Amino acid sequence: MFIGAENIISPLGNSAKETFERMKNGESSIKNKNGILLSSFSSSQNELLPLMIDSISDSLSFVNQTILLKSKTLLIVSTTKGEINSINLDINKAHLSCLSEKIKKIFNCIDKGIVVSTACVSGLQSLIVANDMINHNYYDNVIICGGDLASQFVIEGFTSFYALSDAPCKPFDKDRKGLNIGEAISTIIMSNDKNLYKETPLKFLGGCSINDANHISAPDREAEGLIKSINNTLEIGNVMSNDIDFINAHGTATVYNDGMEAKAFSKLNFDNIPVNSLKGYFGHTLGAAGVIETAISLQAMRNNLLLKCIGFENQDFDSKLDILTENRDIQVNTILKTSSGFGGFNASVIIQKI
Amino acid sequence: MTKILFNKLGTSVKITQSSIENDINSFLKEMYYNLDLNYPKFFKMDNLCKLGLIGTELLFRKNKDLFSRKDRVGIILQNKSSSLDSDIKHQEGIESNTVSPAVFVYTLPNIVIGEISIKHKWQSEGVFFIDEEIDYELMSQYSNILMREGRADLNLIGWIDVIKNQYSLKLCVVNEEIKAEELKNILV
Repeated sequence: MFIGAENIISPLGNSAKETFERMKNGESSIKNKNGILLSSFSSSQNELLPLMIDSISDSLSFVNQTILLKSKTLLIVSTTKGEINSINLDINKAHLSCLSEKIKKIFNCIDKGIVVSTACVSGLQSLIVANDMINHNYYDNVIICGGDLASQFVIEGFTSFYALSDAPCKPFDKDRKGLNIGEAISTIIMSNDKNLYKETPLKFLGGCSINDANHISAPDREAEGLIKSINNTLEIGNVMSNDIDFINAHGTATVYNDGMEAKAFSKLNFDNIPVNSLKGYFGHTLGAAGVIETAISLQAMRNNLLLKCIGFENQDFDSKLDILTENRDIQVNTILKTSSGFGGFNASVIIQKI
Repeated sequence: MTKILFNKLGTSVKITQSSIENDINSFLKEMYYNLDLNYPKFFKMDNLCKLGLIGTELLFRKNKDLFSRKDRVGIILQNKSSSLDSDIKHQEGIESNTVSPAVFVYTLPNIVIGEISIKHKWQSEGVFFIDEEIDYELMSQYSNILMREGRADLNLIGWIDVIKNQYSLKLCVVNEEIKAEELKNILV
């Protein structure tokens, strides 16, 4: 299974390349906006649909149209709240499937559109569903578009949870005190045909999403769900843990999430594998998170450059993880990407160079 | 009035309203006591999760043998309204300055999968799709994928939608590959 043609529309740029370049220089888009730290677009960009269309258009410019039109293509929209800003004005518009329906009508290469909505793992779960659908010959290609906006709806909700930090977030740091919300759109195209891509793609080896059956909003302290997910993914991808060159973690910078992830990685003896979280660059982008962070990780593989974990300074208590404090030039062949979220969902995927 | 219907084999359950004046809260409460659930957490949940728990319980009790031999139960659910029922309540909270984390946590459709997993201690694969109406093709395809790859021993598949006093549920359990047409027949 091949993966590539990544696009990112974020406050850091309008392409994956541009966003990666600015992150490489240590730029973060988290800013104080009326007393709340956010990574946000200009206030005129308050609708998801046009941004998703732009993002998909850019991704499509990286693939061969003739091949695409001759084969069967699925669209997966990954979002938690869609156009939630219109909940009062037009509730029909707030229905998530409006997005997939409208996008399908615009792009004639799309045969069918579906929506995946599983909280903060939506993005990774969409990549997993895409891989499954192609592997089982239901489709040849899948366009995965993840997006969410930093709406008042989610900001007020996370505030009530005391989950927001009043300073730029510090993933995996011992003094971390919460997350920053971010908004972004990201698109990735997966295919069974390497020739679809104009630039060399990477290989998606597999993944899965496991429920920890522990609590709907608190991570499992023993990290059972995440460990199970990673172990299953290693088995599905036929990869040994010592083949992994890099882990792009979820790392929201809340006390409990990062503690749970660190526990999982240390129980799995991943102490020597470089780890980062990208939340310090563009915040927690919810339904886009798994897609945008995978897109940046694809860029990291293409450039053989691991990005530092912005916000991280000091290790938490007994953690011995290799959390990146500086950008690191290394040969990156195989990566593990994880996400965890409300509802007890834990997803992981493995990607490798061809 | 609310109707609860099983198929002949008892592997599928359907909950439908014959009139929308029916109050969902009293229906769910009545079902909780009728089923003798004895699960106080139930009363903290939003109506989508309550309905999911009731539907799963009805199926679980009819298929005890099937469930007892399997520990990996894949959960594949779909609806139209996502979590809009709770979203509206959270939005009202924002407007009246009474935002509550106990409401906000239910503003995601997949929480019902979490609640079902917790109740039955299923640490398995789960996914939530959203569409205008039930997509039998997609649901059967994903169920078959989990079966073929041995990622689930059986799958709980279905439609569960709640918005204000309108609700519907169609849920079935399958332990083998299934065609979209067959799934449609089971869930009718």
